[in-house]
Amino acid sequence: MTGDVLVQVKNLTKSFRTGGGLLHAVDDVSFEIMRGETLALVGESGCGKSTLGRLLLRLIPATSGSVFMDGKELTALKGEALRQARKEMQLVFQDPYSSLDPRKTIRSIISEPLRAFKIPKNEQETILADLAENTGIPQEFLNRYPHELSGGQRQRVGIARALALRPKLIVCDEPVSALDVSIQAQILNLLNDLQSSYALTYLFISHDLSVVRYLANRVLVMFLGKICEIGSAEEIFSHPHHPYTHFLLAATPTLDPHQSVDDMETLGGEIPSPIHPPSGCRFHTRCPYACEKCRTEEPVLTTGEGTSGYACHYPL
Amino acid sequence: MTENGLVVDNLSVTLKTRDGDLMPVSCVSMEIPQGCIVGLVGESGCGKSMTARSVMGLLPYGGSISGGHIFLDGTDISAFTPKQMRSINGSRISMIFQEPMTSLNPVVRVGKQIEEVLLLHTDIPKEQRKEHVLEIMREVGIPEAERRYRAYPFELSGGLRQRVMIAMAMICKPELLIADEPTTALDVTIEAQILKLMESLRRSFNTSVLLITHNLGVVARICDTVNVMYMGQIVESCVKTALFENPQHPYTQGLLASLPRLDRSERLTNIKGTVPPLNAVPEGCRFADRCPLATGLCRTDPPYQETEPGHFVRCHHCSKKEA
Repeated sequence: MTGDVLVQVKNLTKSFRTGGGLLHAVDDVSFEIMRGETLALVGESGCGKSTLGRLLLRLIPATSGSVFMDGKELTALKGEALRQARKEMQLVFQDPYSSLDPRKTIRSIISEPLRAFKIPKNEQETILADLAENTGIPQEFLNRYPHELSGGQRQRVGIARALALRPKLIVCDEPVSALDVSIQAQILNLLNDLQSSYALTYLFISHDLSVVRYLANRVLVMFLGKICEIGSAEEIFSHPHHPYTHFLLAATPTLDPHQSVDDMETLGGEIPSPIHPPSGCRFHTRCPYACEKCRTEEPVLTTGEGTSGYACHYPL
Repeated sequence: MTENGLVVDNLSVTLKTRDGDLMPVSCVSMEIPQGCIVGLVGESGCGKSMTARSVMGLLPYGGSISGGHIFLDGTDISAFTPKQMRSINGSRISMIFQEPMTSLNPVVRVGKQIEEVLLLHTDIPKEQRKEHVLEIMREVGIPEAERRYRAYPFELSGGLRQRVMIAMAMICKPELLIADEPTTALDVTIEAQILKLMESLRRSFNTSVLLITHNLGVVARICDTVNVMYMGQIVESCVKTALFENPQHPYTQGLLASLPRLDRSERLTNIKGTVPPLNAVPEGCRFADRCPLATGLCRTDPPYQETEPGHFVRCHHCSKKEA
């Protein structure tokens, strides 16, 4: 990976006011996404991974902190400048059933971004034909409606729409978790191919570590709004430093038929409430190695060799 | 055929719809011996949930068993009246569902919901029932059972709700537990806990489990034998190790090759095309249109044959291995 930074996130925080108090969905998070890489964002439900994805695209305003893309401070943009910046970044959603307008044809769905940015009509047709070809949507589907398509085909439409304006960054929010395994493989391969042909950078949000292993160059693990560990995929999968990463990997089902439930390492307890996060290290209530220091003192994310690091007092 | 446990023999289910009669389950046979965990895997719409629902007598409106039998400990339960079914559902057979939030009553305290099973199926006096409920709640690993007894479902996390469902299913110590995607809605660390729990319950109560899932990783972890379904038929049935080390049906091989894995990151091979709709079932082998091995022979119905002891495959191209 070259040192070419596309997205830089600095001390980003997002809190929501809820009936129970202030919920820190994303809490003082800093990291970088390199141009052309796939950074996977993993963690369990409620850890703030989708919120972080939306913050990056400025679909929701941040409470504090900043996001820079290509040197421009996204969090400071307003009005037309912000609208123009949106061309550079797109989102692919999890559920291909609810993310397409049921009353529009596929043609109209994919070309909507082109109309929004007033691309001339004759160019629109060529772009549309290219997109359909590159994402594997047959020409005759363009005049159909979403309900006539299967889940895998709809997800291709969602991807084609995201690509329409040739963005630099695509945030994929669990793009394959609603799909069957045989279709999942088709979409993962498609995302892989598009990355090289369109020179894309992906922020790939997923809870499935096997999928992440397949696509990601680097991995960022989140727990309750904080970064636990960030590093190259090889490093995270072979030598995780943070105990949470270790247990996530241990809990991920593998296809080895000789494993037994008895030697499965499981993590006790439940995910703590993000409204009243535990003191010190947020993971200490579930961590088998936790000791006094973990209960009182919050570990800081080390950024050891360049782009990798972990937040733990007693790394593995 | 074993006397104990569940035997499904040549079961077919017909579903009446506006577009005519569909057959989501056709000629399915399988055995779940007492104390075994048997997996039923396949993609959405392959008929795995329909098979489970017909065992429970819970087919949706318009659905009926149109052929075959279901035996529980030698008794044919496929011809039971709804009243007879109610007397065994919850006591001898019970079921847990995928979404623990929608299958619990939101306005009744969870302790009361578990207790209702005892009220229906046992004559345990009122004053002892609560003790039984607390005992099973502790057994399935619900911390602070006394306090959780009075909780409403919305006050519990997904993992705890699934434990409540399991407590409800296990309180009468059923012979058969049907688990329909029990961990699909849960996070991986919680999924691991629930699978461990199911294994320990199987050991302590000698319950048989029919585990319905689309996740082959869950199968590798916990099942003894596996049935793979495609478009309403079982295409391969064998012990767990044989499925992963020597898959024989091209569909099973395709499924395994299309899964991303933790231990390698080479390009995935996928199964071409998509599952055809049930009103357009192909002639002959139902997988032929997507199969890399398909020949003219595949336009005729493939035999369901034993290629190795205990390993059944529905394919023209998988023949008995020479000893």
